Amino acid sequence: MARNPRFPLYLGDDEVVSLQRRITEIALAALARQLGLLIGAGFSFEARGLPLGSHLAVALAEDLGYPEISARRLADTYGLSVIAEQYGRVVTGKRQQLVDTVSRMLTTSGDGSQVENDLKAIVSNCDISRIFTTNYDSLIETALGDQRSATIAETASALTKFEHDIRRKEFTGVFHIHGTTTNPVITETDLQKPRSIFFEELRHELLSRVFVMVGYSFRDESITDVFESIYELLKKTREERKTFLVSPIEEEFEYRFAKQYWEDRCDVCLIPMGAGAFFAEFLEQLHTVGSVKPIDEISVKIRSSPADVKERLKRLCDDVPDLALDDMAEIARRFLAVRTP
Amino acid sequence: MRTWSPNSRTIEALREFVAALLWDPMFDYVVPIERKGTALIRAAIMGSESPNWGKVLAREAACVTLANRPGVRVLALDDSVWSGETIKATVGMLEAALPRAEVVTAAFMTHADAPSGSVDISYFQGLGDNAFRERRAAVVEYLQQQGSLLLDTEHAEVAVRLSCSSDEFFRALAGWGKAVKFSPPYRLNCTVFQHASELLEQLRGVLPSYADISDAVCKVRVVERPQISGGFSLIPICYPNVWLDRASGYDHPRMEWTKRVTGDRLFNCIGLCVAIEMLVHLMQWLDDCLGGKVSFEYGPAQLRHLNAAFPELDVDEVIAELGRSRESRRVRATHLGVPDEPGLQILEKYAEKIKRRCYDPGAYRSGTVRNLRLPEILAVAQSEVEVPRVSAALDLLIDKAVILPRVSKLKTAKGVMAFREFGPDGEMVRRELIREALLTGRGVEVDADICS
Repeated sequence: MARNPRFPLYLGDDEVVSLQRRITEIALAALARQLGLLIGAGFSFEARGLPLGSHLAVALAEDLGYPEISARRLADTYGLSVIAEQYGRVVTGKRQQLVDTVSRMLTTSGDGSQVENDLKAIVSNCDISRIFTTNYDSLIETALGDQRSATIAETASALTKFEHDIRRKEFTGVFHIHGTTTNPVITETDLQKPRSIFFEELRHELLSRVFVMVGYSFRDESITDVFESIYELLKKTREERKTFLVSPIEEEFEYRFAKQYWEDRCDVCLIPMGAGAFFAEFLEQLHTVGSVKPIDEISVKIRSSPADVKERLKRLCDDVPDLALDDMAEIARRFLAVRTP
Repeated sequence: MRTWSPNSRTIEALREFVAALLWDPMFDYVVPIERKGTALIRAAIMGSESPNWGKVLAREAACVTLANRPGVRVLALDDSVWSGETIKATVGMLEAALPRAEVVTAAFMTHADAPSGSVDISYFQGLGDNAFRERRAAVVEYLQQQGSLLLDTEHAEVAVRLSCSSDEFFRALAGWGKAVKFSPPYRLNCTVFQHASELLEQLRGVLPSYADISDAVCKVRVVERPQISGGFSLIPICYPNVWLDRASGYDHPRMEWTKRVTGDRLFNCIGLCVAIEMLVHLMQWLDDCLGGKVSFEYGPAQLRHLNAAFPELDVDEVIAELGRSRESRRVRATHLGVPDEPGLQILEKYAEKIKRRCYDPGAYRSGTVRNLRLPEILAVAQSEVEVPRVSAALDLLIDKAVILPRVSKLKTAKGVMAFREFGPDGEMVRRELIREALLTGRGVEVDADICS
């Protein structure tokens, strides 16, 4: 059987199957309207090449007059918030110029990418009503469409209105935890201010849903704090909520290290994939999840692996284009139920 | 008044989606695709404060009307896209006829099998089978609530107000034709069936020589208007087969606008005029039967939607034509009948049989599912008494968006004939039909490979 190219080559076949099962779990939770989603800069980077936090830091340092190599070193050493703070102090016009620069760097135009299309398809299929993001840009809203999504303002009245609207109409609210391009929480001073009220929404989602973080490095202290407090709370009440961290990891040693680290720290399952590969795999699982049960049943009856049964059924589907995989699986299951005791 | 249902959130999204596109000043015209696209537009227009059909054009009418309008911006709107074939064909047709127009496509939802970029604007994108089925059910529920699936823009509608009991009204209808009453969700329905041969004398005056009424759909649909006490709508439907190559044009004896209709739309135009003639006959009958206890409303508000399919149509001429029902004449002898009320369960059994007839493993030219012509559908009836019930069951299927009426053309030795036929409404229904058939063991061949 051909290897699934969406997964890194360093993973063994068993590991790929295991991760696919995990993604099936996520798909089942999503179909049961039990999925929470946090999207990080990795999504915008893959979709439109928008800068990651580190890239923004380099660009701001360069804007301050440092040559590229120095700018990179400053970005690595001090991080975005310190450089942004310094940018606000040094540059004339201060805050507004910082906002304009960040906004300019995060502006996109042109056709949507496959990653964006896949995100829209996932949200459409699963009626995801809330997406949390650490991104300043509005690419999620662009991907979902003006009518399908709304940027939720960071006020209590906006939250009340959203709660009312979401009961009335199927759409998605996008919660920018660190603000948007017009009011980014980017400098050290910004980060020291009281936390966004969106963190209360995030706490609720973490408590009640299977939570997936995509394209997000999980290094943001304000979020890890919330996450750890929820983890402790659930541990105390002996309840489980599975959380998945989807992040592209190129090297095997890093994956092994990070996998163990996240498992030990808060029982987070690491999926080493980029946003694009993950969304594509997730979508495929969503569309075929209906065939999982009959395929499992068939595989027991004919003593073959589920993956093998799926492949055979796919071949049958090619002969009858009017039927989808779950149709064919159900038909085969019924026939085998008659033939085999 | 909006009723709550599990689909309410999707319905609200749909309502806002269509309204926003319809009233978007970016688009000069909106071209709805097929019956549900039209029904969505109708629901949005009738739900607005000042109903206005000015921006709406049926596909075929748009090609004729906008041909000399450079730079015109057209929105082609469908409820859903599965394979993308229908919307592609529509865009192709519009772009060929209107080379200098800007055509934008929109659909409330697209299926995962729809080719990437098949629509420019969508609310739900890349839906799997189950999600598509759920959202489609919401679309149909919304259209049923609005009563919009009942009426295409090419059918006339006359409002009725009663000052007698509805029971008396239905008995009068049953005297005119074979009336079958049924109550699907949201409103009372009645299909008044007529054999075309029995109406031939009354219709001869408007029937051109190249039209053949013998196999025609011939009925009046009567639908309750729930918001008006004693209020009903009459929707006449009569489509003779038309030999298109023999038709140089249609010249209705009183409606001048019909002369301006050309090409394939002659079929629809003749259908509308014959239906109006049949309706005039029924209105006279009801008047004679019920006296002053029934009144009809057919002003511009009731008829303006016809301009979407027939931009040439002169509403005043249609009003004058319907006004013939009031002309002074000798009162005709009438009689009351008894409407048939078989109940929904029995009608649904007929509906199921009609649906299954569409599955034909022998006809592989277009897959395993085919369209049916009226005589094939009516053949579901085991006796003459059942024929009107089968006709009502067909209406039930159309209102549920299971079956879609279409106009098709057939080349024969005698010429090119246009006729109405009925087939599964969309890919989802088609697939479900095949699935059900295969699951019950019809025409299935399982590859031995799976059992080895």
